[in-house]
Amino acid sequence: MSSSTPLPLPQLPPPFAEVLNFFLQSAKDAFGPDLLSVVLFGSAAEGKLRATSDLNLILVLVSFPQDKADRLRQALRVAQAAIQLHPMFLLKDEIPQAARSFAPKFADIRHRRAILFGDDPFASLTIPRDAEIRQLRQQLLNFILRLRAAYVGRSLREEQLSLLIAGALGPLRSYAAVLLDLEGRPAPSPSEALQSMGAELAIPGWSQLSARLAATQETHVSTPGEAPRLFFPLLDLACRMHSRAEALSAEVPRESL
Amino acid sequence: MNPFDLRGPEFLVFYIFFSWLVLVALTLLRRLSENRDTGKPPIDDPYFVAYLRGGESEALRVASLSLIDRGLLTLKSSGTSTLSPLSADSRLLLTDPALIGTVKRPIEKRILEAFKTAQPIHSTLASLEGCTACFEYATNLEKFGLLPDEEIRRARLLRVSIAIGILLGVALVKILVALSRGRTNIFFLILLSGLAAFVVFRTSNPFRTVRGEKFLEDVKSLFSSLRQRAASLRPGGATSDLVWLASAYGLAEVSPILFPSVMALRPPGPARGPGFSGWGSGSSSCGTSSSCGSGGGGGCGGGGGCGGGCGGCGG
Repeated sequence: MSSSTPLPLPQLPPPFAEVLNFFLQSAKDAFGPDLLSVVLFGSAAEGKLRATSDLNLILVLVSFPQDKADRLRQALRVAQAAIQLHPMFLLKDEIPQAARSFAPKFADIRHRRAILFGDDPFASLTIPRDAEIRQLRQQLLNFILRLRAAYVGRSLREEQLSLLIAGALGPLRSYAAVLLDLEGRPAPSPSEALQSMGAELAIPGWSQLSARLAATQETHVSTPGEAPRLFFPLLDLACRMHSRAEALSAEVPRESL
Repeated sequence: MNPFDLRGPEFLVFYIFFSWLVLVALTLLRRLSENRDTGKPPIDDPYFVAYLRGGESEALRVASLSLIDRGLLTLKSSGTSTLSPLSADSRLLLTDPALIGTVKRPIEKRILEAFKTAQPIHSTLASLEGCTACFEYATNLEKFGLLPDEEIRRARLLRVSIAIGILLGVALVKILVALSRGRTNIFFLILLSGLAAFVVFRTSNPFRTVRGEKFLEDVKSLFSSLRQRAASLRPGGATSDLVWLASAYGLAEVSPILFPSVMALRPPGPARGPGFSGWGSGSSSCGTSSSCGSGGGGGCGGGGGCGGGCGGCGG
C-alpha cells in the first residue's frame, strides 16, 4: 500500500505547543545525531486536539543508548503530566517490522502525521495489506468483546457507561478509517470515516445518533437514560464493521490468515 | 489649592486618595524593578514550583505526598476512621531503609531519613524546614529572581520606608495645621494614617517577586489540562501527574478519594498562601536554621501562617 504525504504542522493551543517544543528540544539535546525524525500523529496532527486529548509522538532513532535515554526522562515526565504526551521510541531499522506487526496503527499514522523534526520516515512506508486486514479483524473483535464485558460490568452506574462510550468512539473512528482505506475509499479523516460507515451500514437514526455520540465524547456525560440507547447501536456498528472486515479476508490468501 | 486648608472630612477623602496613589506608585516601582531578566527558570523539578507557590513547608508536604504515593513512605494511623490533618496520631514511616539510596532529589532523601522510625507528620516536617535541600531551592529561586533576594528586600524596605514616611508626614503636617488653628478633632486622621501605613507595609513585600508571580502563572497555565484530569489520576507514581498537580495548584486540588493520604498532609488550619514575606534577612538566613529552623512547626509551617517560606519567618 503506498504512502500519503504528511499533514502540514498543526496550530496547537498554547500549553500543548509550548510543552511539545520543550520536549522536542529536550529530545534533540538528549539524543543528538541519534534522533532522525519526530512525527506527531493522531488527532493532534490534524489540529483537532481537545483539552482532554492525549498527544502521540514517534521518535525515530538510530539507536537507544541508556545515557541518552536517561537525559530525556525528566522532560518526558513533565510533558506526560502537562499534555499527556505518549512517545514511541522506534529505531529506523524497526519501521518495516513495526508496520507489519501493528498494521492498522501504522495505517492511521500514515494518514494522520505531521513531521516535527527531520525527514519523513514513513514517506516510502509499505503496510502489507494482508497484515492490515488480519489485524483489523482481530482488533475489531477484541474491541467488541471488551465492550460487551465492560457493559455488563459497568453500566449499572450510568455515568460509567457514558465514560465507556466516550472512550470507545476514538478507536472505532480509527477502525472505520482503516476499513474504508482497505476498501479503496479513503475518508479525509477518521471522524468522517465513521460518519460514512454508520450511514452505509444503515444504523437506525444514525445522523442524530452520531451527533449524540460526539457530544458524549466531548462532555463525558449523557442525559439520563440515554447512555444505553447510545451504547447498543455503537456495539451494533462495531459488529457490522467486523463483518465488513471479514468480507475483506476472503481476498487474503489462507496461509496469511 | 492647598490640601492642608481642606476641612476635616474633605481632607480625609483627600488622604484616602493620596494613600491609594502612594500604594499604586509603590506597586508600579516594584513591578519595574523586579521584572529583570535573570535567565529562564527550569521546569524540571516540581518541588521548585511547590516552594515558589507555598514556601518550604509546602515543598516538604508535596515531596512527602509523592513519596507516599510511590510506596516509599507508609502512613500509620492509630486506627481512627478518618485521616485528619488535625490528628496527632498520623505518622509516617519509611517502608524500607534501602529505599533511601534509590531517590535522587536531596529533599526526598532528607524526608525519608527523617521518617526512618514512625514520626508524627507535621512536627517532623516542620523540623526539616531550613534543611540544606530546602535552602538550595530558596537560593535557586532567588538566583532566578523568583523570590526576593537581599538586594530586592533592601530596595523594598527603602521604598516602603519612604512611602510610610510620606504618608505619616502628610498626616503630621495636617495635624499640626489643625492644632495651630485650634482644632482637636484629629482622631480619625491618626487612625487613617495608621491604617494607610499598615496597608502599605503589608502589601509592599509579597512572598514572590513580580517575575515569580508571572512564572507561577505560566506553570499553572502549562498544567491546566492536568488540573482537569485531577479526578482521574492513577496512584502509584508511574507518572509525575500527582506531584505536578500538587506543586502547581496545591494539595487542595488532589482528590482525597484517589489519594487518601493527602488528608494527613494538608496543613492544620485554613490554607493560606505565603502572602506577606516579612522583613527578615531573607531566605538566606534559613540556611543556618537558627532563625526559622524547627520552631515546633506551628509558626512558620501550616500553610504559610507567617510567610510560608524562609523569608516569612521574620514576619
